[in-house]
Amino acid sequence: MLDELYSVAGSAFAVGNIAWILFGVTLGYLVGALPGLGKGTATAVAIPLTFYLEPLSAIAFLVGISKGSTAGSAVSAILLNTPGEPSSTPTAMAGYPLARAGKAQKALKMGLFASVLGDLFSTVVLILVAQELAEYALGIGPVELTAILAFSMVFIAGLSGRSMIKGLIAGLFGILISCMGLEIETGSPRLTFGLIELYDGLPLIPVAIGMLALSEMMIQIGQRQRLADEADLLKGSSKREDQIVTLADWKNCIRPIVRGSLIGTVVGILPGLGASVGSFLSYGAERRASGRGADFEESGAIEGVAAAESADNAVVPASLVPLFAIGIPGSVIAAILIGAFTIQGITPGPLLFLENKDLILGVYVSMLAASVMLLFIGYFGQNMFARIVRISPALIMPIVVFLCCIGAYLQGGGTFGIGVMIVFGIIGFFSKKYDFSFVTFLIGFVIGPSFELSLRQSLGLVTDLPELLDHPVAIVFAVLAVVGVWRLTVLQRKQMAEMAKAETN
Amino acid sequence: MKHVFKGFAAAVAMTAAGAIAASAAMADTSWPTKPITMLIGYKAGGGTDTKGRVLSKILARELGQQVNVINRPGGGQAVALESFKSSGTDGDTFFFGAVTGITLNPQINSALKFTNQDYVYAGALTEFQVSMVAPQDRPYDDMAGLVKFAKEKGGIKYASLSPGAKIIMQAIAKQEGINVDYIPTKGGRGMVQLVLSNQVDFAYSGGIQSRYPGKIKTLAAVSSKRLGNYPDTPTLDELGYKGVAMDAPTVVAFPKGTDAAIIAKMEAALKAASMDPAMKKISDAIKMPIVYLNAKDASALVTSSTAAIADMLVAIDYKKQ
Repeated sequence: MLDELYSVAGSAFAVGNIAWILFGVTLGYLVGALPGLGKGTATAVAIPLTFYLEPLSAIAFLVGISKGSTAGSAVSAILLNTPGEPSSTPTAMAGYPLARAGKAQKALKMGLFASVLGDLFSTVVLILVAQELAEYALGIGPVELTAILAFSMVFIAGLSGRSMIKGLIAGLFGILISCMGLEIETGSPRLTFGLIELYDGLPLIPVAIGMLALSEMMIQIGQRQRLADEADLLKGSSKREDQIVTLADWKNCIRPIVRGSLIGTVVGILPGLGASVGSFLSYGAERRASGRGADFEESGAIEGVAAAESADNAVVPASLVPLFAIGIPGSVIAAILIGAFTIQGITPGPLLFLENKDLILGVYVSMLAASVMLLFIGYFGQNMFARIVRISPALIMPIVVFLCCIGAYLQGGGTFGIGVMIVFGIIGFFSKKYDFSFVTFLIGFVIGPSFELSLRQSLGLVTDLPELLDHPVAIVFAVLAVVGVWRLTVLQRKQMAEMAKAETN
Repeated sequence: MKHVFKGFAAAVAMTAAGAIAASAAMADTSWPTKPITMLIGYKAGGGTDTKGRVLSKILARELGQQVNVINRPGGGQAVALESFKSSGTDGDTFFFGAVTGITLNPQINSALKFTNQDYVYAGALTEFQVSMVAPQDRPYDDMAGLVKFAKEKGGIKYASLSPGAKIIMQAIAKQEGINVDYIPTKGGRGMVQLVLSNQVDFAYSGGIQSRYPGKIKTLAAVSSKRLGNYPDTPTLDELGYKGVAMDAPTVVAFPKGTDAAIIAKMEAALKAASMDPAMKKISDAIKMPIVYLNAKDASALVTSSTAAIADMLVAIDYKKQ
């Protein structure tokens, strides 16, 4: 394998090709850093640019864009609390409080390192095991997905904040909202109120921007006086250890990064889960492991940023495993790349390794090169972006609201998206005021449609109960989900008892 | 004075209209005098979008004006078609997409207020290879074998990727008296996954099976005529399922009332595009053959396909959602 990679390295490192990767990573990082613009948009818009490129340059360019934008979306998440895409939401939750505490530079750097490491790990996995793993991925059908999603939801319910009941209410509300749109089998409209714009459901990005960024802006505007007092802090702490990633930070973050890379890679390989599941799962795992609970979102957590970013970036290369090997995309990026491949006359799938082996190897080498470039471009790009926090809140708030509107407009079908964003900004405002977890709401909203689809497919596929025995993976995850509910309940009871005790004291 | 002015304005308008009508009669028009817009009802990056963007470049060359692509995704092209209906008759905006958004969707969804009558058609360029497919190693190779298999087993599992796919199969199941479990899937790729992993007995496909040779086999063509990629595969109609068909060419449409000269010019540009090597390259790559229809034939196909779908809905006793 290694000598094969070496033999194609010549063409992959050709000046033209390297220039395209560099251009792709830079462009992706810039687009990703803009609020509301994520990897999907960046890659899709770039596809027509590749019409007249050589196949290797075209694919390498697009992969560069997707890697760059995935890492770049952490910038607006941390600095402005506006994730470029849903999968950066946990980054915003743990990273924005850090920026507020004057540690923006630290959070950005750790986010970048975690991104590059997760990305690199996943790329290596792709190179080494794409062919072998693909066969297993195919065996993960709707029945297995249903169980995995159920398990994920239980796990993420642990993120619900102080009150589990309120967390559940928010999560179920998210699922309810996600039911909007055309029902999948017969196409009958659900909860659309006669609006054709709602036929594909509520657009994700405007909902996420509204819940996270706009509501945050409303709260901040209401606390202008306190903000003015804090403005000095926002300018960045003068202490050097708040600006750099210290050895102690690395010690705290290495475990979440390793775990996040693994979670992201597995989620990427399984078709139909999506990057959001990866970053939320990794974030949730770290939050539980740290034992800090809601303090993660209140005072911020560098480990949370590392966990979310490593998983988010690991999803991208891993999602190419099923694409290269069997022609099934594991993520939005992979689905968009299919379009790019077909333009070049290449069919992703089982024959790819036979017919276009040199191309695939060239793409591998380019991907590794893109990871290294990402590190440099991100590192120098951040210095530029981090200046944003030195601007007074009075100036920055209107700009953020404006950028929110642009993101919602682009991703939500025009002014309709802005309307959606405003409605969810108001909902988000009250949910923050009354401590209803917007995390579980967003998770319910994101996972709801996949869960419904795979559950309904499973109901059609498994007609007899004994047939379930053909799906051992599903059984394992279903059992884990039940155990998870039980443990959560026990934990909750314990906390309640402790609180009661504290009150009587 | 006011009246005089009004009369004068009317006269000018009439003269202008007359001049336009005259130029239309000669099928000669200065259109397009500024960049025009291609409206696509799907997200950027998909199959229709990819083809549309290549087409836009060829059309720009043929028409001598920039052709901008705008994506308005949502509701199976419904969002795009609804807004497009009233977007003006000056040829500024045209629609490019699968005709089922016009022939099928308004018939199954009462909230859609447009019909096939709201548009005029300048032609069709390619067609989705709509067909019934099955995993390669299944014991049946045609519909008769599938029906026999279903009767022996007592029921079969069908991956249904759209409401239209379900309607087609309901009509067949009713005629044959077989039990079908409908497994909804999200798009062609969700369907492929179920077929490749052998979890369903057969499926409805928009033509994506051509990318999986030796893994997925084609049982029958769902279109009213045989398909370009599968000339030896019989249509459902030929197999005795009278009136059961769904045609899915990609058409170019303008809002009703658009000048005939504009339609004629677009028709000529489409004909040139159908012979363009770049278009040929893309069509070969995505295995969606170029099936050029002129304006007259495309309009006739829209009308006949709409009527055929209406009949099918009556036959299966469909209740509009």
